[in-house]
Order: sequence, then structure tokens, then C-alpha cells
Amino acid sequence: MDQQKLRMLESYCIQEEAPACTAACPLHVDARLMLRQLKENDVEGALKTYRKSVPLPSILSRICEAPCQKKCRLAEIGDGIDVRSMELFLDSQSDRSFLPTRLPLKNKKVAFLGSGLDVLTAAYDLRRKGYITQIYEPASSAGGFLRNFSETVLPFQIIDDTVSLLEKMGIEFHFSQPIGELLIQRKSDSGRFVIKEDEFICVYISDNQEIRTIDPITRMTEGNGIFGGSAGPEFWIEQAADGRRAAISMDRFIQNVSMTASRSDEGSYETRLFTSLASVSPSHSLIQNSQVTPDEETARKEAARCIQCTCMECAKGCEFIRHYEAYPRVYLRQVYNNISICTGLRQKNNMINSCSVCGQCESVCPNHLNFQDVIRETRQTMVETKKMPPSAFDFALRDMSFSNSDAFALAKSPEGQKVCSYVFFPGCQLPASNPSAVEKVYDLLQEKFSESTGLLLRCCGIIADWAGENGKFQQARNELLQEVKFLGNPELIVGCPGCMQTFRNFYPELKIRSLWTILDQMDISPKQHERVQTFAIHDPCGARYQTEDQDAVRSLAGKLGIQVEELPLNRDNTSCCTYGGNAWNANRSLSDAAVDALAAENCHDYLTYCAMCRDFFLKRGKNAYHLLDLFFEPDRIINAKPMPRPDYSMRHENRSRVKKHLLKKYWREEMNASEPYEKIRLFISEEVRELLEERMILLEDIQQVIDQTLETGNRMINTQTGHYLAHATPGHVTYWIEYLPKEDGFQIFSAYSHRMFIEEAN
Amino acid sequence: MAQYVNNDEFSHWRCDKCNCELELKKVVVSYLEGSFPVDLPVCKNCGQVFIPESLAIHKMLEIEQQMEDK
Ligand code: SF4
Ligand code: SF4
Ligand SMILES: [Zn+2]
Repeated sequence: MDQQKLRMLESYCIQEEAPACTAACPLHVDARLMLRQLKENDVEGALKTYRKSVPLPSILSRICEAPCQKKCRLAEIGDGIDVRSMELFLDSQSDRSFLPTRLPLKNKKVAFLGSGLDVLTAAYDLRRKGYITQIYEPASSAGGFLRNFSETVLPFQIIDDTVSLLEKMGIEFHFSQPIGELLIQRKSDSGRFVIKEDEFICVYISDNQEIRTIDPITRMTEGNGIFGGSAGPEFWIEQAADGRRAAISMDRFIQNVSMTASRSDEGSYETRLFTSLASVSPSHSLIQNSQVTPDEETARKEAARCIQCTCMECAKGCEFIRHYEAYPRVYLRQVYNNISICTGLRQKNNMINSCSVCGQCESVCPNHLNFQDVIRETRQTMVETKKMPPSAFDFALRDMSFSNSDAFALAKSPEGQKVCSYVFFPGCQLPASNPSAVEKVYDLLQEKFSESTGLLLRCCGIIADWAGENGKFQQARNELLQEVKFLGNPELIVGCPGCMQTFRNFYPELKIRSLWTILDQMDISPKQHERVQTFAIHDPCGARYQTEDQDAVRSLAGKLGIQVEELPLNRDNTSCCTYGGNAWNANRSLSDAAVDALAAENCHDYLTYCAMCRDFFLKRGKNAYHLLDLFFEPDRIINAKPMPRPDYSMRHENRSRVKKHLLKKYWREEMNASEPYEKIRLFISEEVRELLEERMILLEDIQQVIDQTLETGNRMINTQTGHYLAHATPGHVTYWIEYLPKEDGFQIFSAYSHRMFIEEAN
Repeated sequence: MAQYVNNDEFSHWRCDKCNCELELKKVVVSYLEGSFPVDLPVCKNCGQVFIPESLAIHKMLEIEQQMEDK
């Protein structure tokens, strides 16, 4: 990802865009913040927020037309927030003699003719910037048309107080100066304007009939250095904003920098911020009469109606996005910095590896920002540059190696056929979770679908892609394509939505078909129950955008007598169980939190059609079923008895058993002899078994250590317990096993591991 | 040199192969690009190393994670 791509992607995430109120306000008051502060009783803070954007609070809080209220999102379903009344309240609480900070005076003079709202605003801004600011007014007092307001709306006193405050800031007022009589001359050498013996770099002429063209962006007239505005525009707040624009231009004019550069965000505009109103109930304004200053309680209550507009659509279903307390725009920058860093700690490695790469955020994002591919590519870069923490995905990758080894991998046409028209591809985790379902599906397919259905057991390779291991992914892909070719290029019948998605994305040459649509179209009448049972259906992330499968599964559930309830985010917007992206491997606490949040969304047991989703729910104590669990054992529907969840070791064992059993049943073949260490018998208590699961130590790891110690005799002995302790490093990890011989095998008391390598003397 | 193991963490362990006591000795451990010496209990005779469980699951894990992020 280069800078340019980063910026492009960042612009898709609109979370940092201004809320509708601020965008509508020509002075861009941060109303969202101001209202929050008010709600939280921080009147001081709210006042500061207001003053930061508004030059003449006592005047504007009385007469602003409040375009923010019309554009407030709440106005779409009820009343917009009466922001101006809140401002009126804040002004009533303020110290009216408060003087804003000003830069020290520089020897640069600007002049204003007239003293309407535009002039007062521009003069205020320029004096704060340190200019010597002089105002010439034909009348005997300042304010111009502001004095046309009734006393109840804008009392003279307020105008006079404001003017004396401006005087205290150092702005000089000259009253009773008939503009026509002011001789403005321009010096031919310096270009300065001469008014009454004083020289000015630029002038602002308010409401001058003779000026025909004023640039709406810069407020400069045809005359170079002459700026202008109209004193009686349609909206008062626009007039103040015009004054502000002019002040910015006059400052730039004097500094001799571009007057037009980057001014697009001035004035009101339509925000790009998306805010869902789906769960917002309409509410009505608590302000009865917006000319009257509200009391504190009313003000606070009105402020509390603000829904604090924000997008955060992607955080609604994603624990990863919530966990790191920001949003993709911020994460993109962090990811970019993390891969660009040369020395020092790569603090975001763990964050990058904790994403499920499931594509939910892209699906729910109003701009469909594709964040998952950034993570995928970043992981690939990390692997290529050898910056990927080896522990992050090692366990998952070893699981994939297992699936693609002789212990599980298999490619067979039906006995007696050289090639086949179809091949059943159950994926790697269904055989691990529910081995008997694999056999039953295969039976069913041969019996009711096509006799020419072979069997292909292995992993689709997605685990390597998730880990950023492109080389390993390509290898897995090539091996799979090789096997399919060997079987005569049959059409794959795919049961796992994750594999299905992988084939669609990365195996364009394959013919694929979903098991779910086949089952749904089959003429079978699964057992019906008297009682209709309700389950909440969880779509696996692999089924995102697979409408046919989503429908087929719901239809099948109906035939089983199941009534499904939908989760808040379902189908294309579904959440991942964190098996996706190998996130569970890199960040287990985040994975648990994600599953818990998902499990809490509906009180019914969950029905899903991915083996890993099922097992992740079961692991966190949520009853969950794979559709095939219920399809073949419909009694479970009313018994509310989920299948047991196999631990990591059992997942290996189940896969090997599936292969062994089916080889024998359909082809009358014996499985190749396994490794000798696999014959070592282990006795392990329930408690130790849980410890092994927690530490991700497999029985085969233990067997290898014992096998090695039997050969070398290297082991320690605990003189108190008599237990032996042996260690070995079969791969990248060193395992330590505490054990005692028992009967014809070994009892295991504890096991632990580390990745650090010990350089031993022998 | 870092010392991560106390005496009472290995005084009840012996090398079963040599039937010999353990003593703290300098051992080089390495991970990824880095390697460094630590005092670890080893068999006085054959040099077989002993890593207690608490060292593996706490301090070593912590160092591994730090080195992985470098
Ligand atoms: S959904 Fe998320 S990524 Fe998309 S704009 Fe909103 S905060 Fe940004
Ligand atoms: S609800 Fe609040 S943040 Fe949203 S537009 Fe209205 S005032 Fe602004
Ligand atoms: Zn020894």
C-alpha cells in the first residue's frame, strides 16, 4: 500500500466527517460536542466550544436562523435540536466582558466602511490576528441593520455592549463619517489606500451600491485590495460568514499568499457522514419559545436529545473494530505506519493479525470500504519481509498441513470408476467436528444424486491465505487442482461455505456446486416433529453474498420443522465467529469476546452451517448446531442436545478416522501405516486435557516427545513426586512433558511449550 | 546476564539419565534474529537443560512476543 492508495482508502471511511449540524452551520459550530458538554453539565466547556467558532455570541445567539436545526438528522423523524436556544442559554451563563486572545499588534492597517454584522465579524477576526483595525461608520452608532430588530429579539444594549467589547479589543470606531465624503485615494507607488491621512493595505466596503461584482469565495471586488459585502443579506448567519471569509482573504492578501487555495470547506455544505436512524425514536423539542432564554434543566434536556451523530456502522457487528477503539480510517493509517517502520517495535502486529478478514465491514459500510484486503495484503507483505510473528498463525498453518498430509488427504473416484462426474468436498473442519455426517452425506449423494460421485478430502488452502502465506496457499491450490484433474475434472459438491467462497474467489477454473442447494432440491422428507422448535440462524461469513445457499439452508431448516429467527446482522452482513482470518489463533481473548457478543444477540440456540461457527459457539457455552447435526439426527431438535465439541487433538483424530473408515467402507483399502509414535498410548485426565487445549498442545506433540526420550534416555526426575520431565523440539516449538509410565502407556501430568530455542551442550 | 530461575525452583529436580544434580549455568537461548545468554539449571554432568513451567509460560513467552514485534 503506498501513500496514494492509503489516502484513497481513507477517503472511503467517512467517520471523521462533520455531523449534519456542523456542516450546515456557516461558521461550523461543533454542535455535537457542545451539546454533549452541556448534557454532561460542562457549561464552561460548552461555552468554549461555542466561542471557538462564533465571533459575536451575544448577537448571533439571538438572531441566527439556525440552519443546523433544519439539517439536524432528528428533523427527519421529529424535531431537530434547537441548537440556537442552547447557545442563548450558554450566552446567558457567560461573562460578557470576556475578551478573546489576540496577537500583538503588527504595523499593518485595515479599514472598514460601515459597521454591520459582516464588518463587526471581519474586524473581530482581523484584530485577533494582530491587524490595526479601523471602522468608519456614517451613523452615530454601530450595528447598521442590526438595529432594525425589535428590542425583544436583539436589545440595543446587547449591540452597544458588543461594540464596547470590540473597542476594548482595540478596534477603533469612527462614527458620523458620511461615506460619500470620505475621500479614498490610492497611492500610485505603494498601492495603499488613504483615508483621512491614514494609510491602509486593504479596505472593506459594506453595502456599496456601486460595487457590482464580489467574488463569493474571497469577497474581493473588481478592485484589487478592495473587499465588500452586503449589509442586508437574506440570512444573518450568512452575513457573519461573509465577514469571516473576507477576513481570511484580507489576511491572505496582506501576506501575499493564494486567496483561493483550500477554501472548499468554508460555509455550509452537505456532509458525507452517514448516520443510521434505524434504532432512533423520534423526539420533540423541549423549547417552547425560542426567543426566551431556556433554564438550565430545559437546556440540558434538549441537549440530551442529540444522538451524537456518527457512522460506526462497521463497529456494530465487529468486535475487532470495537476492541481497538477506533475505526478503519484510523486503522488504515496504523497499518500503513506499521509496515513502513524500519526500526523499533511494530506495535500494531497484533492488531493486524486479529482481524477476521471476513468482509463484514465492507458489506455494511455505506461506502463499501474494502478493509479486509488491506489486512490480507499487509500480512502478505509481513511474511515476504520476514516480519510476521511466527507464533501468530503457526497452529492454524500446522492444522492445514495436517489436512493436506496423508493423515487426511484423499482423492478417489467411486470404486471401479477411473474418473467421476462429481466429487464430494466436505472441507477440513466438518470431518473434524462431525465425522459421521461426512459419511452420511456421501451415502446420500451416491444414492440420490449421482453414482458417479467421488470423494476429495483436504483443505482448500484459505488458512494459508489468511496467514499471508501466499506461497503455501499457491501450493495447496495447485495440489488441489492436480487432484481434481486426476479425478477427471468432476464438479465439486461443496459443504463448507468458507471453501465455497475460496473456490469462487481463487479457483475460477473449478466447477462448483453447493451441497445445500442439492439437499434442498432432493426428494427427501426429514422427520417432522409435532412441536415447532425455534433457533436463531447464524450465517457463516463464508456464506456472505451466497444468497442461494442462505435461502437453501433456511428452506431445509423449515423442512426439518425448525422455525428460524434472524440475527440483527445476517446474510450478507453476517458477523464472523473469528475462525476467519485465523484471528482466533492470533488473539484468543478477542476471539472469546467476539463470540460472546455474538452469542448474546439471541437467546435461542443457534443454527449454522459451518462446523467452526458451531464449535466456537459451543466453546463459549452457547448451544449451537450445524444443520447436518440436525438433518441426520433430528431428535436433537427437540432434545436441545448439541453434539460434543471435539478438542484440537480430537479434530485431528476425527479427520484421520473419517479417511480410514471411508477407505475401508467404499474401496476396501487400508490406510497407510501412520507414524510409529502414534501408537504410544496416553492416559490423560479431563483436567490435563483442558490444559492441553488451552495451551494448544496436541497428543501427537506429546507422543513425539515421549518417543524421543525413550530413544535418548534424556529426562529429568522430580525427587518429590517421582514424575519424569522430558522435552523435544519436533518442529519450531519445544514441548515439555511431565509423565509417568502407566500400564502399556504413559500418564501425562502436565505439558508446556516455548518457541525460544535452547542451545544445549550435548 | 539475566537469571530467571531461583534455586528452589529446581532443587527437587535431578537429571535422570546421569542421576546427577542440577546447577545454574550460562546457556545461550535464541529466537528469530536474536540470541542471548541466560542462567539456567543444567545437569552438572551432561548439560541437559531444565526449563520450569512458570518460566516457559510467563517470562519466555513475554520475551518471545517482544522479539516477534521487532
Ligand atoms: S462504516 Fe466504518 S469504515 Fe465505513 S465510513 Fe463508517 S466508520 Fe468508516
Ligand atoms: S442529532 Fe446532534 S449531532 Fe446529529 S445533526 Fe442533530 S444536533 Fe447534530
Ligand atoms: Zn545428565
